[in-house]
Amino acid sequence: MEQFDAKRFFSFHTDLSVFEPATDEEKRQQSRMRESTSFFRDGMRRLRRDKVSMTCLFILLIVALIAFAVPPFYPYDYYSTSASRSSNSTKFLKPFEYSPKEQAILEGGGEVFPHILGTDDLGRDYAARVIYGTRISLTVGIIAALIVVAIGVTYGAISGYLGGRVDLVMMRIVDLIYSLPDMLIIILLSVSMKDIFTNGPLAGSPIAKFGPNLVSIFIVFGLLYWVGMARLVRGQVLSLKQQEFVLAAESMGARTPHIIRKHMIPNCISVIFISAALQIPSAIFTESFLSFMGLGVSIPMPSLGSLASEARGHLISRPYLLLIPAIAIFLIILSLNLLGTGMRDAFDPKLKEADK
Amino acid sequence: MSAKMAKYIGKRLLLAVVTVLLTICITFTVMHAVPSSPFNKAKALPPAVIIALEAKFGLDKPLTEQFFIYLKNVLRLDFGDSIYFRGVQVLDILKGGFKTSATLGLSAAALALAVGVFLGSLAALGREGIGDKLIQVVTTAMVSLPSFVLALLLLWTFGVWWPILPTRGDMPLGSLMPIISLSLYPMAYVTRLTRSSMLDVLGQDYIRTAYAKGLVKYKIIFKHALRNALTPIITYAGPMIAYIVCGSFVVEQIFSMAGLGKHFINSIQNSDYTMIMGTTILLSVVMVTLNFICDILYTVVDKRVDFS
Amino acid sequence: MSLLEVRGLSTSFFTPAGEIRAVSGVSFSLEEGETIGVVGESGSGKSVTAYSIMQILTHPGRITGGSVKYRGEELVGCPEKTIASIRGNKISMIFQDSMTSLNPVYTVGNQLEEAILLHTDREKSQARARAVEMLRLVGINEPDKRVRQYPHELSGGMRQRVMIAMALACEPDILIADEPTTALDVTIQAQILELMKELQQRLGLAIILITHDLGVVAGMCDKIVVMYAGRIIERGSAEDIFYEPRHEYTKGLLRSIPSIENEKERLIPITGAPVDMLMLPSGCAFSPRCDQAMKICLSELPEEMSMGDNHNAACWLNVRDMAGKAAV
Repeated sequence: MEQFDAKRFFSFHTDLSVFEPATDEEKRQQSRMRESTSFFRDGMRRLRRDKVSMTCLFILLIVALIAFAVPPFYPYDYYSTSASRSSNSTKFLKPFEYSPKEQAILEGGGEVFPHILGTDDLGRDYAARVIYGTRISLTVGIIAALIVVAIGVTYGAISGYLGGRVDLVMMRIVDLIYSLPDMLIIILLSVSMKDIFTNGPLAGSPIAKFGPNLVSIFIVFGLLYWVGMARLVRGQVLSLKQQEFVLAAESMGARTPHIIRKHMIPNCISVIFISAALQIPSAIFTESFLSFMGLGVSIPMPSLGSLASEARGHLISRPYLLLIPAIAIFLIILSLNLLGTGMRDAFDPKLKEADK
Repeated sequence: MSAKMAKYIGKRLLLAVVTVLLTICITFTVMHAVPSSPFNKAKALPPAVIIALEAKFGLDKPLTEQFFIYLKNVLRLDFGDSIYFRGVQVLDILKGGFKTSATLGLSAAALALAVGVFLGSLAALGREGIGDKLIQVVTTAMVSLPSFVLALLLLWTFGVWWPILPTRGDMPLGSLMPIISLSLYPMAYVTRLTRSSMLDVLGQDYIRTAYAKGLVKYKIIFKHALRNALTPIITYAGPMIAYIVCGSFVVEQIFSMAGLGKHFINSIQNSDYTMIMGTTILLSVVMVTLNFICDILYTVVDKRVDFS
Repeated sequence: MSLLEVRGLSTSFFTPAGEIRAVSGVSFSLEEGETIGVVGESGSGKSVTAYSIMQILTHPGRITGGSVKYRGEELVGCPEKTIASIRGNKISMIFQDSMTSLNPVYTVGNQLEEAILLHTDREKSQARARAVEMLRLVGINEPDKRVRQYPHELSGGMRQRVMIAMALACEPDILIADEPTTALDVTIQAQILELMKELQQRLGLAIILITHDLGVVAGMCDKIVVMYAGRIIERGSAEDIFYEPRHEYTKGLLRSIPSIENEKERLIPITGAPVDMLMLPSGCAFSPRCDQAMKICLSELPEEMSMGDNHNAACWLNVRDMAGKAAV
């Protein structure tokens, strides 16, 4: 080892004061620790720095703004056909084309709002239908996600917290529901629900007017789709239960609901949030699938799925009838998916490492 | 086979059986709850049909007894006659569609797995490179469209805009487009899964050991990484089966293929309840069985599985 | 010419949070048949040093400078083929966790044969025979049966023996053992160390033994190198290190292990947490945790200084003492 010439210290001429002991304060300054931030803030900071997530969030906000803020000011509604008296438009207008009646109004010096996307096979303004359809699809997605969160979180938290035999039984039920062929059951339930609301005792009730198929989608989500969330939350709760702050709360005599509400749920919140965000696309998918089979929203109400499905008949002559709702679905789902994964990465760096 | 493994398989089998029974129960309940169902004091049906139904399903007997009659019939795959197509047995219609659907589904699954595993490995090897980025973008896009929109877009692109593929399933090469449109989503999913699983495996200690032994990269990928990386893909089998079954409803309808899916959609639109019942039960049996097989396969492939 | 000569080796991990200099300017040499112990706490860069020598760093790690010469042949920057022909053949390595270091889906025999087939021109059946022979050599009973078993069917000690057999199958000159006994029970630990010693004498191996456990190196090593925050802070013979440590960190390490001689003394842990490798202090990396830290320690990086024959330490306290003496 002698080949690594060690410095000879006799040539070392320096002020001896540097050999004075360092104070603790000086030492502390040396061990520069990164500033500690709360877990949530740290995640939010990472999320804000992620360009993809921020772009997606921006797109979603724009889409939501258009879907929810525009309809009251929009001159056309989604249901007036060329046959109805209030409408001057005719069937299958091309984008920015006017019907003869509207042409006449224009020539007479009047003003007619253009059909930006033309009209559909019944003369309904397509732009209005797309905007309204986006609204319905988003609503379906969000409400379904809320239902899943509500049931899944409650069930999972209770099961995980109580543990033991209760947990065992509750989880067996989850296993069973999980193994059911859910899509088939959904179709079956939708068929029956549609029938019950149209032919059964509930015909004519407010629910039937609101749209039996929408209600049945929510019921189905409430019955079947919460199991994934329940498993997730239970897993989180089980691992949290081992931790000191819960033991501390218990030893101070806190009661179960209090502990679940104050300690468990806040600590699971990012996981819940992320998987809820990813639940929305799944609900929109399900709704559009049911729409395709004639089990979706009730006519004449549009959803993005039913619009795409209706466009099937005019694929050759008017492909834009398909492309427009398809692009809308695509943008919404893509943004939600990317935002969801972005949030997962931001709030769970460990997962990201595993993914890289 | 160890006793532990036998116990595990037994448990899985039990779950599968219970699941099928539960599905049958749900179908029975639904059939009786629906106001316009023939099981529920049928109204607008010809007397001959009602009499046949009553005889077959014992509709005049108490509900519990009806259930057992129903169960016995179902277990013998006897779903009665179609209500819409008078005098045709549901089972015969199902038999007719089964082959078409099975061929379509299996081809789509095979295509999705083969292409997905290949692309996923490629992406993992060229991590963060142009190819990887491109594959990630395309697959992310692909999982963001519902199956029927994807199928319709494909139909328009290659059938109308640039007509190079036949648009009907019964034409020569006609099953090409249905297979592709059915496999795109699972293909994208398998690609992503393979990529992340491959990256995960490449970070494992035994890969380091293999390098330390002096193996070169491609040998490590093919001998040590791929086999381990493929195990998680088996866990995707369940969702993939579900997707393909449901996707086939749509795809068969769009490309006019006379499979189970098309029959199913038609029966829903025609309120053909015996047919709906038969299809639901048959398909759930198929799905549960395939899931069960995959479960077992997983334990065989992955020797480390803890059977608890 | 040394068997292995490492000069100014530096390795960094380029993470999204910044560059982590896991190893900076590490130099040492290894002679034939010699055992060198590399000691340090986790994160001190001792494993990364070993991976750098073998060039089996994983993404995003990269060698940023220095040289590694095996029998005079430069390994840093050589083609993959060259280094691959040395790995497992001339320089072998065993790892801490034998469970995860063996591929779960292949039999022990298969994994043993792989290296043999790769580096020698033995036939398949000869390779199997060699595998069995190696298993017998490392003291595994019923080797004919064991070759057909999977890693999870063996015990931890046996798996580590398999790892050793695998590493030695091609009769390498150098064995790098990265915490070979950390994951094992104490009794098994002793057995494995004993086995390594015995094989070293029999095969004339040179060993680089990486560990955080000073007790492990005590009985085995000719030379000991102590690492902290990616640098070598003290090196010397086992006697130098154990009886005349000249760096405060080494002293701290020794104070924190129990021994029979000073049974009645209290164990003194090193206070504070290991350094944040993303934000290394500008002076001595140990200074924030050092009881004796001086002003200069916080601002200037101490270099290695000779403390006697083959005994070097990088600590300003030595300079102070010498300067003090000189002043007197």
